[in-house]
Amino acid sequence: MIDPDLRFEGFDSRTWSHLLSLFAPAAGDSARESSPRGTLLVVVDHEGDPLAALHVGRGRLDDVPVPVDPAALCATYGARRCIVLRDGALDELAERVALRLEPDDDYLAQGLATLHAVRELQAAGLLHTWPSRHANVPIPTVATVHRALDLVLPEGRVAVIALWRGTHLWTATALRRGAGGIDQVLGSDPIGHWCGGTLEGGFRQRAADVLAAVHEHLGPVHVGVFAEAHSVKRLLRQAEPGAWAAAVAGKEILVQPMPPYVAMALGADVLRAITRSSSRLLGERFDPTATLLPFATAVRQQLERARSLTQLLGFDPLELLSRYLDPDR
Amino acid sequence: MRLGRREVPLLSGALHYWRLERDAWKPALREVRNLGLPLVETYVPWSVHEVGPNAFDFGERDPRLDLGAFLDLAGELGMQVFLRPGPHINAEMTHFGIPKRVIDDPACQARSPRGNPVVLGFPPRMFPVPSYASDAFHGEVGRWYDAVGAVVRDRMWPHGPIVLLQVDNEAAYYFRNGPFDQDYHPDALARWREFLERHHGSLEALNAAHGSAHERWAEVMPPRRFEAAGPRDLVPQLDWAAFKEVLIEEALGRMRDRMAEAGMGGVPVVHNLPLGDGGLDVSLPGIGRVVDLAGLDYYHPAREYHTVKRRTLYLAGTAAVPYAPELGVGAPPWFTPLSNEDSLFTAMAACAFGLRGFNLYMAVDRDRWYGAPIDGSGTPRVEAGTWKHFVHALTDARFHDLRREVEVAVLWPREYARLSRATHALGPLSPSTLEALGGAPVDGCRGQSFGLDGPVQVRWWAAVTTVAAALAEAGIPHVFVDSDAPEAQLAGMRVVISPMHAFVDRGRWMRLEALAAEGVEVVYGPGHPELDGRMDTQRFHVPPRMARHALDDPDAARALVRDLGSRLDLRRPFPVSPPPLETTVHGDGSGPQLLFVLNPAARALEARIEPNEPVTLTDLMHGNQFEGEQGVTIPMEPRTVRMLRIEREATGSAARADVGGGQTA
Repeated sequence: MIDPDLRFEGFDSRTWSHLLSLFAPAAGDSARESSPRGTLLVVVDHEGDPLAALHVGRGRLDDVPVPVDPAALCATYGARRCIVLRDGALDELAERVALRLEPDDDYLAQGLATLHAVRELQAAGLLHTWPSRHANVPIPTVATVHRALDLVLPEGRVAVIALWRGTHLWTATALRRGAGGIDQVLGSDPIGHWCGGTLEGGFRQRAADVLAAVHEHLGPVHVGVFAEAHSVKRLLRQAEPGAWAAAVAGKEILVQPMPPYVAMALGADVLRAITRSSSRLLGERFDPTATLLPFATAVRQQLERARSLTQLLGFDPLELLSRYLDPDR
Repeated sequence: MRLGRREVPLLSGALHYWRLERDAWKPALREVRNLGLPLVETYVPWSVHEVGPNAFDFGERDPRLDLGAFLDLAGELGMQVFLRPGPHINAEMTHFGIPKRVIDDPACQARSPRGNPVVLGFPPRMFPVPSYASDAFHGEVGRWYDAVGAVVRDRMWPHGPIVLLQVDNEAAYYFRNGPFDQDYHPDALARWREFLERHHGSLEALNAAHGSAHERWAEVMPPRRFEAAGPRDLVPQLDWAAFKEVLIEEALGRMRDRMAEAGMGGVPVVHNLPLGDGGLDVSLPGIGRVVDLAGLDYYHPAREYHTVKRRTLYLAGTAAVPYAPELGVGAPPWFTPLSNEDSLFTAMAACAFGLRGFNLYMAVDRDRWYGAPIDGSGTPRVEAGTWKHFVHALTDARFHDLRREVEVAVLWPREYARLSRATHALGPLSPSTLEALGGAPVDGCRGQSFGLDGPVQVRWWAAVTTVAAALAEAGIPHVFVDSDAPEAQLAGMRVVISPMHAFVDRGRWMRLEALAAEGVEVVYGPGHPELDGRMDTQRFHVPPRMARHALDDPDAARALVRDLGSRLDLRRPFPVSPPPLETTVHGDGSGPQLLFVLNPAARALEARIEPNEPVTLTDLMHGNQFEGEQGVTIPMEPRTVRMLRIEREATGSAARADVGGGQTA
């Protein structure tokens, strides 16, 4: 997934922190600030008595009650999760990972091998996580992950995101997938340089320049996202169904080119919005998830063959959304 | 640093020649010089120059690899060079800059307790780390040094621009430094036995100390996991923790000697320790006995102010020259995100607490990095202006000649730090990793007492931090001195405070006795020792001027500091309010010259400073002036540091205020 010769360059500290801030929680989010945070680590002996305990970030915990109750500990210390380890479990994990790795494994294979070793420890009762939401989720194979990646960003293709604040470029990045995985992650510096030294002007004015420049210097663009920074920030923090699709339909965000998986996501977003409103109207007996399941299955089957939104979904989601949002209809 | 008759501040900026286009070298070097940095620093990457087994390209094929031309260009531009030829360079390179054929060679690989390779999980590839003990690895390193030496030997000072060398990089077992992570390589086991023989004198003595019954040295194996019930059981564990420090020192010594043999010698040699140094199984004073400059690397967000302060006070108290071989400007993409404000705050805070020289890492942008003040084409970014102001202000103030007067040392007990590492219960999630994540290196320690007066492995840390907090609250300058540091580090101290529990290294106790006999006020506690470092019962007499105190109790520590402050009239230069604002003062023979005011809070504050005579304070970064008859009020933005020149209003000369008499740091 990551090429051993990965190149990452062309960010200053502002453009890099801007990029990361897209995925950070909003400052002053009181709900988040008051919600449980961090991880508890508790090491126990073979009888389950605690030997050491800490909250990563807040420090050591003394006097952990016996028997160790991870859920109760999380409640007491305001933590999101708790990992209970038998004494020596992490040493055991390190030994098992070392045995599983092959010299030419890529980072993905190495990561999956580590996950398998973690599962072994869980199965052996050496490691217990709470909550254990993902305990039964199968670990994918390398091939499965590669197929998923093929869909998101095929080999030789580039993904671009460029965001402005008014006429000033706020952040930009271009990722290329080479034969060995992601081999280029470039920032605003080279993209700006390719576009004549500056990216002033705003996303509607400069998106075409960026697409052409990235195509020329890195390769064909598979997906490009261009917008005002605040629009994307708002949408990333807003879970309202239909918001993404509405932003694309209203040209608040430019997605160009739009690969099938984005189209499907937008289509699903539209349907989520519509079904949520419909379910309010129809009452609790209407289950939108069940209603959408056959549709989702069909879409998945079409995904790799489809080349347009309408072909993929059997309808144009943006057209549907604009109809839905039109108060006269 | 003196170069002939010339004095050069130990200030440099990092530039990786092989990662830049050749035509960017000159503008990038010029811009590094324009930042006010007289030295340029670069690694020399083994895996990049090696194009086949022991076949090297130094520019014959790829012009970007022409190291000789790069060094010559730096010299032509009037710059000196700080050269770091590895072998380990990290630099976010795959396999940390070591060729894959070496990494994959089982003879070169460190070994786990079960004899498996020791894998490091860093992106973009996990890899088995080399063994610092492996003779095969040292052989490979020697051949690499010969190759580099052939290029650089004629470019060493005074014939060329190279004035500093670094041996290896962040030698901390490649971050796989859990207590039983490594190294069980056959060559490491041989050195373990040599160490024990030196340490205990004979197999009989070892058997007595370890409670073992070995008949031959070849039978002696290191502990593979923590097992101890009583004090005696701790001895092999403490020996293993001590040996791991020695193994690194010996390896660095071998590399240093081999570098010199290859023609890279005659200039000071540097080594650097990474973040989390409080939990590393290496010793800064031990490394300081192998190289000329042993320093710490800094990559901290501003919220880690207390860590920056603690690390710098330790460096200033323990190292002969407080130096940062890497002072982060920007960071790797897979590291805690750092803004330019974070980097500047850390740099200024470190200088405030005693850092005297640094290498800005990175000055010039490169692959797998963001945030350098100069981009990869050699063009200064907006941030370059800030760094230029800062470096020029330091140089103009002759910061490298100034000293911070300190009268109080808090001793950092190495035997307790070793116990903390030995009792760490989270294996490869090591004490230094916990510290680097913002915790304390004792957070993962087992809580048992092992027949001692409580969990010493945890309590010593509480004593150090409690006393330090009380001293800071009272505005009394202090440093942390490693108990393994040279005696000179304690020269001039009026007060030495040492955490103490049921056991103590006899050398540390004797040192405290000697200090008390010299008239130094020695305070120890909260416990009184009854066992020595080998857990043999001893009687430790308390001489005059040495007193026991409850150092880990905050109220008692405050009372102690109040008592010492008034009884000994300890100096509190330029007191500031409100908390958590702090000041530090740096001066020379003519008195205080520079005042740092630090606001670690996430909110703006007004600093009220009360010098003992009217002064004018000039902000060297922004030019503002502050003065007042009874005191000076200075607005402080959140998480900022001001660097202020001190002038006495009456004469316009440097103030001779409340500084002098103690140790300099």
